[in-house]
Amino acid sequence: MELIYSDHTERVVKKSENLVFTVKNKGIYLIQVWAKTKNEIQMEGTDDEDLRIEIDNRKFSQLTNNARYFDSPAAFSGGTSKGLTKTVFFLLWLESAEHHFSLIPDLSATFIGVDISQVTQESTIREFSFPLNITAEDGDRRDWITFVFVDASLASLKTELTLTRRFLDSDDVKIVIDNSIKRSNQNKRQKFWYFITSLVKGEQQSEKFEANLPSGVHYVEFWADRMPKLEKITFENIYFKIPTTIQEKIEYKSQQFGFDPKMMLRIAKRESQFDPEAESGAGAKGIFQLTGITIKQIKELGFEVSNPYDVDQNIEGGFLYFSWLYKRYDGQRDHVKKTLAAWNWGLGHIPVKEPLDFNNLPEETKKFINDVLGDNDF
Amino acid sequence: MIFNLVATVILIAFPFADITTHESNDVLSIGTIHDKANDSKDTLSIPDLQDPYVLKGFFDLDNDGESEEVTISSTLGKEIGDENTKIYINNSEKSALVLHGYFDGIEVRKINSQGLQILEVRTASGHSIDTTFYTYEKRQLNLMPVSTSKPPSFYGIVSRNKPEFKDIDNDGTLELLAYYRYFPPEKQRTVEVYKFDGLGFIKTQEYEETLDNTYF
Repeated sequence: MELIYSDHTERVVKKSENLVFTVKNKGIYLIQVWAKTKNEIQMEGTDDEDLRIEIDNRKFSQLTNNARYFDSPAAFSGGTSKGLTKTVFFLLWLESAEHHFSLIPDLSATFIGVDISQVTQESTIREFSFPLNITAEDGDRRDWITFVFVDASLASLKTELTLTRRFLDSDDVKIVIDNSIKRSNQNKRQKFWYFITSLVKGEQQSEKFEANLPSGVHYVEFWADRMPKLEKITFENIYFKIPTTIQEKIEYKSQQFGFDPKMMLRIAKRESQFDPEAESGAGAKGIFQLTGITIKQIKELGFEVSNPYDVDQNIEGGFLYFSWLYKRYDGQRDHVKKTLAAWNWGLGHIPVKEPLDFNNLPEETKKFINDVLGDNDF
Repeated sequence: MIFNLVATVILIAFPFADITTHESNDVLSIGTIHDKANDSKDTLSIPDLQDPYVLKGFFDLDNDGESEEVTISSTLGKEIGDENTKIYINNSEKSALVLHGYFDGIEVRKINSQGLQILEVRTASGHSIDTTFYTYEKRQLNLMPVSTSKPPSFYGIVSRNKPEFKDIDNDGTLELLAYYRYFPPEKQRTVEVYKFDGLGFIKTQEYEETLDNTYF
């Protein structure tokens, strides 16, 4: 693996931080993050510390509730990690470009470090095996390590652990794959903890788990009691689906930004019929028909569209602008319709707090909204 | 006589704008300013929008033989969505007009044989162009409502296409034609025809027409 970015300046994070890194060679990358978050008792208050990560604006929610981010397995939640170090690995495909890694705390968190390494330039890994030698800090049951697979499929994983008998309470490890707790047949009494030192013979434990996870976002979690050590992990048959067509790229971005892919595809189709060379009489350009003003505004959001006919730039810019509008109307009634109305007619015409008077919108704006949210063919 | 009324237009600070005067059988545009940044289809460059964007021109807005100095100030504002356009007349400190959107164009037209002149102002907002129309009387700009325009707070035309003026019934008064050329890949567009009723524009016709080429 080739390390391309590293930040080991330990610090307390109270505001969101955006770290920028550049990928020269597209491929599969491993992002390893360490942080600590305290629970409310340790904080002597009523609120836990939490920290979540965004990569290129992509959020990582719970699998069962896509609106919950701070208690996702990909985040650092003080309520479950209890002030001890947690490690999160993100395995994902990155294109050659500038990328953003964002630390977003709730209250505060102690960021320990991040390493970003290229694993391979291929989109498939038959066997990905790497030594970890991560020993849990001493403490009671808490989340310890999470592997996040981003838009990947995974066949199986093999773990190599060291578990030690200790006075009064020995090391235990729980394994959770996509919310499914792995249960050991050896253990009826503590059925949610797969490896229990008092029941297993010998300190070294090796086990293979079939996962058979289809392409998507997946979480493999390790929970620790006391001080187990994860010596090594091996993943088999990891396959990343790389978007190549315009439609696939829009679907991929929709997942990244947390938008309905159907809606975003219909916006692009309504705007340009997916023609990257499209230009309107008013000078709007490319797939999402970005205007000069919109491009200027996107630049203020931190992304420069230097060529609006470039498919990737136009899609990224279009999503950033739409996302900005979406956040502006967040929590408001007719949230999506307001966003679409502002996209079409300009947000100066669509006040945040006032109810959307749909019938009194311009005809062209109404048609745009109905087309994007409807099922008619166009 | 009206063909002698070509306005004097002076460029003061206008890096991307073009000012033209032209005549045709249907349209007498006595002064036009439009944003040239959007004209070229060949360039890949992004127009470096001026902020603020200030320009001045001289138009005889009320047809009294004396030109008014029209100052247009357009800004993107402090935050996204703050973009607005202000129009000042004869160096007045108070703006005669404040509109949402970034400046796209301004034109002054004589629309009938009595010499009535109207000011057309276009601003770009979102993916649309807002167009509003005014007369200038007693040192004030007066909005000319367009009958079917919505919502009530907006009295103009919202479309991705600029409206046009043509004397389609040959009565000596120009009609306002609004085009809703909907979206690609359609070749068909909706045309709304508005007639001047003395105060504003009343919709008299609406029809679909098919064009030779598509939206792009």
